[in-house]
Amino acid sequence: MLLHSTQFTTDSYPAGQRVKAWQEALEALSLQASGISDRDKMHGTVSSTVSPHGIVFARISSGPQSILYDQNADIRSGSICVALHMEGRALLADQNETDQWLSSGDIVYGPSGSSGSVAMQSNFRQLFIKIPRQALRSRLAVPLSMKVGRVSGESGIGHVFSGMLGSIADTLDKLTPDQIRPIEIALLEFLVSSLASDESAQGMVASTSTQTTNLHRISQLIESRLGDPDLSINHCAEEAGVSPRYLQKLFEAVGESFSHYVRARRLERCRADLINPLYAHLSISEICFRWRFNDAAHFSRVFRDEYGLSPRAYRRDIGKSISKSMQMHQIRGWPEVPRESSVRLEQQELSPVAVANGTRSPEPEVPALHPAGTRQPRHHYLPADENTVHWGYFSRSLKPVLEIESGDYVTIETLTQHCYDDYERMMQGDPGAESVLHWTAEKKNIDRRGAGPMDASIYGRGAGEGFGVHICTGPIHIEGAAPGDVVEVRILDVQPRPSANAEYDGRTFGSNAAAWWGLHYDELLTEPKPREVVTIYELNQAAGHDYARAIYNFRWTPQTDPFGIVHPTIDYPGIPVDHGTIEKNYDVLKNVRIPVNPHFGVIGLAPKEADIVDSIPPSAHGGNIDNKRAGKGASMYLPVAVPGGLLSIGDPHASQGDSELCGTAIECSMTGVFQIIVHKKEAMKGKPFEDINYPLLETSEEWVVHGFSFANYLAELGEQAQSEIYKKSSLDGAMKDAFRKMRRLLMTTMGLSEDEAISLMSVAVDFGVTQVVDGNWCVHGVLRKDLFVDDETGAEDEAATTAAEGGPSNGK
Amino acid sequence: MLHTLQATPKSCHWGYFDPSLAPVLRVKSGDLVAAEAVTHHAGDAPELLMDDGIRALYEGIPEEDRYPGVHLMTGPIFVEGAKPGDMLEVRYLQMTPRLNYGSNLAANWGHLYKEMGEKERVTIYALDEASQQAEAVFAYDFPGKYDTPGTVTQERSCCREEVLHGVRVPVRPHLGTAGLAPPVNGRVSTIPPGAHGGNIDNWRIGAGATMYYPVEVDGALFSIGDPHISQGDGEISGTAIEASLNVLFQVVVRKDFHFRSPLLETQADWIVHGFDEDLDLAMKDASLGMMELLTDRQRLSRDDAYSLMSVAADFAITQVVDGRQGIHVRMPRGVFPPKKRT
Repeated sequence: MLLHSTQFTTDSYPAGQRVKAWQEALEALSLQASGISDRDKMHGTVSSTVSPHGIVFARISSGPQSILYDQNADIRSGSICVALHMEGRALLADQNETDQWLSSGDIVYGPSGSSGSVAMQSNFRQLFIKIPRQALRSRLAVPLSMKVGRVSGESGIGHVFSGMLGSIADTLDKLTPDQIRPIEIALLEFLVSSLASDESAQGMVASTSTQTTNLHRISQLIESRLGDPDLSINHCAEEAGVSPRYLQKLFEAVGESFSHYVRARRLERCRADLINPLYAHLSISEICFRWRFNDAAHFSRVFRDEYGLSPRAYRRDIGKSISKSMQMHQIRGWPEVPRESSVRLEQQELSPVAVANGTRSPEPEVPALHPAGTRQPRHHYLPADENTVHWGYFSRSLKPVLEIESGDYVTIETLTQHCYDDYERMMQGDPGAESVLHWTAEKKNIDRRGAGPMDASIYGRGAGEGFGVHICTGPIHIEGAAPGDVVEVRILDVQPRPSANAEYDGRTFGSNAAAWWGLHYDELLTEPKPREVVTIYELNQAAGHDYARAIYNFRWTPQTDPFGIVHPTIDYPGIPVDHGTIEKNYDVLKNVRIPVNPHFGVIGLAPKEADIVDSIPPSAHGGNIDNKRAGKGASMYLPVAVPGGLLSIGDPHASQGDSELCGTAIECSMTGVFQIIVHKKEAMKGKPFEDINYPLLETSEEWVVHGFSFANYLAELGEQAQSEIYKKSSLDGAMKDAFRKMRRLLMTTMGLSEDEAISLMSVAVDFGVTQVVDGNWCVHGVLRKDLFVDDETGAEDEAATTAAEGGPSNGK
Repeated sequence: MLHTLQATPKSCHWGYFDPSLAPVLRVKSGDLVAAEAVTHHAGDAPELLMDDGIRALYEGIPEEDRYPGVHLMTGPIFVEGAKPGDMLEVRYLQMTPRLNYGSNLAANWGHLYKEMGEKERVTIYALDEASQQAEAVFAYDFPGKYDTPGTVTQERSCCREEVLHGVRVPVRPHLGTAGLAPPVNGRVSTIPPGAHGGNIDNWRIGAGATMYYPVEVDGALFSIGDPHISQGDGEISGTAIEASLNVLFQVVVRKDFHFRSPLLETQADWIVHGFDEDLDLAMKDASLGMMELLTDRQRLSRDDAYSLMSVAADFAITQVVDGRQGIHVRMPRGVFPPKKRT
């Protein structure tokens, strides 16, 4: 997992508000911006990260202005700031008004409370670091009285330090918490060394410069010997070439003692290890022994004296604050915790209560349509109820709820998992929805929602932990579908499911949740931040479901589910929303109407890689593709991974834009008419789906390939795939994958050479963002069928062109 | 429930609708039907346009039983519960070409028959499944006059010419003729379209479209035929690319509304059909139909509807070759505001 970084840009704001927004953003870093001359062209960005020890790293870029390093408000907490000047013409003025030009690579430092300002005379870039004084205190065996100053990045230790800061600036967005820890340590060491070696910083110590140099040398020696059980004042003095007495005096001069200093440094190392995820498996005793505390009880006492709480409490509290920050920046799916064993479906989960009955048509009365010897297709009806759906996961072990044969038609009811956002409009009186979503203190009809553990031992959200959210109707076993074959799912018709509540007779509703997994969530402009907002839409049936209009929205409030679990965010599917706790705002999206384009977000077969798979990330097996083009008239081709295919359909949408930005579409229950066809491996030659290992979509005019961050994440990311995928979401990867798939389609089935394929992709294929909210992000490539004309026409056109260019006539 | 309806001499009627004809299939509202629609032009290139099933059909229905119209119709289907005054909603879900060839006849009833020197000519098209386009493979002048429906013309290689070189026609499979039995005594020709539907020849009646036919007899008695894989508005030479189709549709009995003429709903539009021997009067018929749709269904005043039609509706010629000529008017569904709720 990457450290959470916050991105700020003035571009998020209208022109008139940018200066103010900029000043507020810098204030958060204890900086003041003033003297911004060209307010209209104001532009500034801040990319910032906070380490577990509270060190703030911020990469800042903006235009001419004055930046004041003076935050009296910050004195109490106390912090030191360091800035690497990377680019721009800048003049540093300290308290004494001595001006110095800053060169690229120079380092500016200063404690809060001191004052100094930098006049940026051009566009500039700086890496700004704010270090809590706490982090430095025990390391610098000297009182901090330093003022604003500059360390040249030209030579010496300053050059090395400057290089390191430059690298931090470059990699800021890619650091993990494990990686930031050594950087923190090195940063403090470098800072101390640079300051000690910089003459202008000498004012920081209340002692002579020889003493300072010696003390610095000795403290570095100590730093490198902290793990040595034999570290003593005598050893240390010997190695430093001074007498033990002189060493003692050096420490006394700064109000310290050797033994106290060593203990403080060792305590600090212990403190760091206690919260280092790499050492999570070590006990507190093991950690204190590493740093030569030989008695855990003693360690515990001195730790409490130093930091005000016990090591155990410290570890727990930090753990909590990390998990709190996880909650602020939660990611979907499995967290990075050791999975004792992969979750499997339990026996009673495997067999649905009853196979959907009455869905087989009786033998038809008229002879078969198809040539003699082949079976006549049937029409099946698959309703959605608690016996015919699975919620939040795919599994190769699920018992089919329906068995069909290739060519059969199936009418499939699908339900949205968002029904309970507005019970009255979307659920009440609907036997299917009531059956699937029923949840009272006594009974939860479908307990497992997601691929997580049934005992909710990870987050405690509920059975399955909501690692996967979609209500999927199925699975359907397709006779004869074997691994290597392709199943074609033809969507013949999609009809929205009207409200069954007499009060809303004949009307149809859907819900859109701007949820925590949306792209916007960390970048909200207005308060309260963050927040989740649900908007209820009505489909206009007067003109045949043409348009949806918003009725009202509400901000998600912590909801207590019928089992008593509080859900501060939409972290579990199908939570009944208590309308007594929410405030409905009817003044929403007035004069806006959204074209309705019914489609299915989830169309998938069972993957073979794992027994139970989160329904959220789409992959080679299809699943939650969330492509708005998968509606009436389209066909989805899916590679078969397990015998019978095991097809499930769900996540019905009334409308969605490419990208599904806020995390959901207009989620609205739908009923579809499908025809399911098995294309046997041996009979696919020359067909566009001949060698697909990914979901391929066909519409009347287009072929659409789907590229993912990871083409088959379950196979590529190993045992932890279902956690890893959410940390490795990438449009770059998805675009590359879409490119490769399109190239292959063009070369294999359209018979183009690589050069032809590449040129054609650039000039005629549209690539677009399908979704950026499902872990395995998706880019689709759209190939228009009408690009392909017959050869002779092409040749003739070419001849005409040649003739027009004065080339040889073809004699026609 | 899915029913299949194969086109056989027993399940087809050629050239007519007749309310007294015995149903070949009984279905319930909501059922799906997969049915074969066979072109009456399969004889134009029998080696390409016929298979054993079609040949059996042509042999099984004698020429003297093909009257007074020309279309080979599959049905009728009795829809339980459909009563005069109801509407029969037919959702066309799938139209798949049975063979990848079709025939276009420049017929003696074509609009420019005289101007073309009173000649009839057959052009055979091949369908390319991958690109969903058709191209001409050959053409020949028809010997004599084409007045027996289903005439079989054996291959006459000497006369076949390569034509329309390199030209490709987008394929849009649809049914030229589909409709309900009108309340008459005995046979009525399939050629003129009317309130019952019939030979509307609107290429927009394809997969994804929904038709609403006014029911005039018990059980509606729905039949399909005259399959096309492509046609332009006007159908000027008298026929489309005539090619057999396998059609999947769902029938729903609608008792909640009524409309005077066959109404077509597509993804984008509401389409009202007007018919008359005189194009001017067909135009009036279509406009008055749309006026009724707008006033009855959308609750507009006549004045408003009139204005809206002028500024938003497109009128076009459906066909000029079926005796009763057709004008259709398209109203984009998007112009209407969402229904007001209280």
